Amino acid sequence: MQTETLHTRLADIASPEAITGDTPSVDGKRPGLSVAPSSAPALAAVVAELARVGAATLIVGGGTMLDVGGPPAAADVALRTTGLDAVTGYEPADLIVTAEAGVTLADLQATLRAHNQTLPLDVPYPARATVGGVVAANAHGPLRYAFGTAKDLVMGLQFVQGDGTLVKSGGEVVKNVAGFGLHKLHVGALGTLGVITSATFKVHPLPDADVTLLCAFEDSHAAFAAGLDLRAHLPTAAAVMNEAAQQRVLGKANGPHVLLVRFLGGESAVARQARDAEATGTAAGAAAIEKIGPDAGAALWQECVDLGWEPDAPDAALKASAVPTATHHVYGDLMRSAAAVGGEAMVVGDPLNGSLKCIVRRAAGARHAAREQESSLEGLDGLVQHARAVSQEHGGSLVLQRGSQALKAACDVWGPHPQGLAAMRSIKRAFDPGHILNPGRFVGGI
Amino acid sequence: MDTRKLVERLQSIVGAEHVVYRPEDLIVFERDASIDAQLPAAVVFPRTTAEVSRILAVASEMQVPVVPKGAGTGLSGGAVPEEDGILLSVSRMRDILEIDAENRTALVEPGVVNLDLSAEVEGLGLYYAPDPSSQKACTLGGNVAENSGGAHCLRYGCTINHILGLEVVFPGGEVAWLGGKAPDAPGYDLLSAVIGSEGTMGVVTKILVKLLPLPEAVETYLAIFDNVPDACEAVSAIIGNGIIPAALEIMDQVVTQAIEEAHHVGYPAGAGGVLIVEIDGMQEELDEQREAVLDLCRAARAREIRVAQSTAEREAIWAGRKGAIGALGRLAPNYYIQDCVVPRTKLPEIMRFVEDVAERYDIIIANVFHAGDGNLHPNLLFDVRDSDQVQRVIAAGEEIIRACIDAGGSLSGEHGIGTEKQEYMGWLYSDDDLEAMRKLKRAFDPDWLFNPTKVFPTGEGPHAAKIHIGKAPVHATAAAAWK
Repeated sequence: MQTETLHTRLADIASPEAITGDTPSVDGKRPGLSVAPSSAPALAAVVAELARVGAATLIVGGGTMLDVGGPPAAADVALRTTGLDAVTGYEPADLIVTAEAGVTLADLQATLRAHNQTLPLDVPYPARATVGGVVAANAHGPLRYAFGTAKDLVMGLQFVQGDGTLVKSGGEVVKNVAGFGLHKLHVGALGTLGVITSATFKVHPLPDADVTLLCAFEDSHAAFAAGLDLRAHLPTAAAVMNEAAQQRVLGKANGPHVLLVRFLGGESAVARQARDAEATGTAAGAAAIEKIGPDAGAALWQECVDLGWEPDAPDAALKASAVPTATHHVYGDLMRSAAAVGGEAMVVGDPLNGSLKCIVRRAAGARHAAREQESSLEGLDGLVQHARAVSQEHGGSLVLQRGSQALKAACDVWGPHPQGLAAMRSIKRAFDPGHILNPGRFVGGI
Repeated sequence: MDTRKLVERLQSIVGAEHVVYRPEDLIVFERDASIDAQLPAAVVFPRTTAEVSRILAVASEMQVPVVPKGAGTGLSGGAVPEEDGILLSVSRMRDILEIDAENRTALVEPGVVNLDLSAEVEGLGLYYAPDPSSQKACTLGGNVAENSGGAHCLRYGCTINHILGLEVVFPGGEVAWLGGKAPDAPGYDLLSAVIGSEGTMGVVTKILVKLLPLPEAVETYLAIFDNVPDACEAVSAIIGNGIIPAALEIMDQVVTQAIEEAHHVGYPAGAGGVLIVEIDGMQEELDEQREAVLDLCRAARAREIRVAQSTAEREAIWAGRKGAIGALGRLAPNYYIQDCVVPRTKLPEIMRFVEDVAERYDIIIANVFHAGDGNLHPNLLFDVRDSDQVQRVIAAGEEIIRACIDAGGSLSGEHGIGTEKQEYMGWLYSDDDLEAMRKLKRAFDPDWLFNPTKVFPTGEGPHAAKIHIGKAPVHATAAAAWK
């Protein structure tokens, strides 16, 4: 790749100011230059040029979840969406908002909040996370129980295909079956099917009341069982955290395991839900129950969602899943097996949705000591393989979201090939024939 | 195409008694509830996934088009056979395979009827939320193909928001399980591609759905207005106040009168616009919302508001609403039902426009629609034997579609494109947009065998023009499916 020639061409297409040398490094690959077009047509023209020369393109939004995916097969150019930063359509009474890909979630929420509305997606680091990145990485948190994920909220998308053609799918209305669900297919596709330039979301009214209960449990099974019992009171979100996770999120440990449950809605309904939930929690064996109000609660849930996505990357961040009623099995196993690896292991499980995360961080000393041992991976590869097997046993899967280059190389980050992979490969070929968009990062080497 | 050979191959897979091929037997399979008709080469009734897989392998080998069919209640032509093609009916695949009350899921075969599933799980305090008006007859397989909606989409979403997993047989016969009870299976979300693909990407053979707990309380109000735009204003005001009811449905006078004559459910005579508001959830939520909803209706000049006092009264209100399309059969031999969506705030002006169109073209347009979603269903009534009237209906329909798209809306909210709206796709999408969709289909169906003549524009001009080609009277039978 002739970086200098490409630099000149891209400067002609985008603008000289759009080109910088400020590029992120992913798994040891650092693109030679970064381009941040200031409009969707300009971005399309840039992609067309990148396709023409076959430049491997690393698509970058806010960079919060850039670690997700396999090591890039190549990364010649970083394509940033930060130049696309306008909320282009918002009619509050229609409950619909359209924002360009580079708008941060925090900015979007501020726009919506001014009209008492919200996009109910709880994503890591919303001040940096972008609309495009959230859709591409399918960022979500425990709120998904009540509101779904980006897949449920994205009603339309504009994106640039791998050949540089700018297209749209879906529309700007809350209900629409005209044409295929290409816009939903992009959710979680990590930009491998196109570069998202703008997205239209269905939004919700802001709730009047927001109450979180912290129920401390000695026993993790009891905590998860309580989470399932609490479904009777229509919770919005729930999470079970071990002590290490509590230390990070709460700054203290309420018990060996704490079940957080959140209720959003009208004042009197939430008051009854919280009351009923306290009774259910006590009956389920909670040792202590603490009630938290809206601001502190929101901050706490944000900490919970941020966990593992700190700019200072942990040694490993695993995302696991299970059939919801079996979540406690995976949680328990993750705690035990991560503890065996040494260091601090933060485990969070969502009893309502069946998703879990396990973040392993080692102190510098422990890291050094482990390196002295035979495996340079310090046993983390074994943890991934074992936890993956346990997740699969309980109907789920496991993805290694963050980890060193060596760890990613040692264990396929996505795990075994999913069913339908042949169709997935055909789709990739159709939308990115030159294989330039985030090559190698997705499932099966896509 | 060698029909005889095809029939033999199909018979060898499912047994001779499960293949229909004699012309006189095929006639009952030539339609769904839309305006088109076409005889297939054969209709096949597989019982298992393995049989479906073998049928698709044969179709691929012999390069024969395939159309999957559920109950045939679709309004856009998705289940109308293709010429010389196989019509694959899922009507023998109708078992509820598993109900997992703890995880709140059900695994069903595609021929299970929508309402039967909710009836089956009611005792567990659960239900399946998407409720198309044809839910007494339509199948879940058909719902998946069309991404069907219903009156309660407003709060609960459409089919796609309630499907956790699918077993799909892709063109050629490959079987794949997509999704499951556990979230976040790695890979592209093929569920999102298949759901709503109108039978163009394969055949769904098992469906894992999400079940919801039955709401603790439900209240239904019938607000009566002098005209439809006033009712629309109430809808905007309710949503604008941060209240998302379970349903917000509007009917005009033509519809309420027809329903009253057909079903005697007690709708008021002479009401220009009737709004059904249903709120559900916890008792406290309802207590918080009730007065606000009623006040907002009054502020929008509701002249009377009835509150359903019993389950029976509530069911009567809904029986009328869900029987609306059927009742229109009393007014004219034929109707052309549209399905455009507009941003909710544009509803009053669009409804005034529809009224104006009816007047200008001298036709009756009956309106019954999901106002909360901005999803219109203008029904253009006509008599197919009157060719001048047919031409007026076509022109009027196009004006309405054009106005909805110009208002920032969409062609279809829940009925699908099929053959009925395919020629209008170019009004909504650019050539590049449509090519992107074709690419997606080709990725699954490289030979373009599944529902090959549908969804995309053929360039032959507006489809509604075909209305007069269809064999009259078209809708007398279709309407019966809704009663």
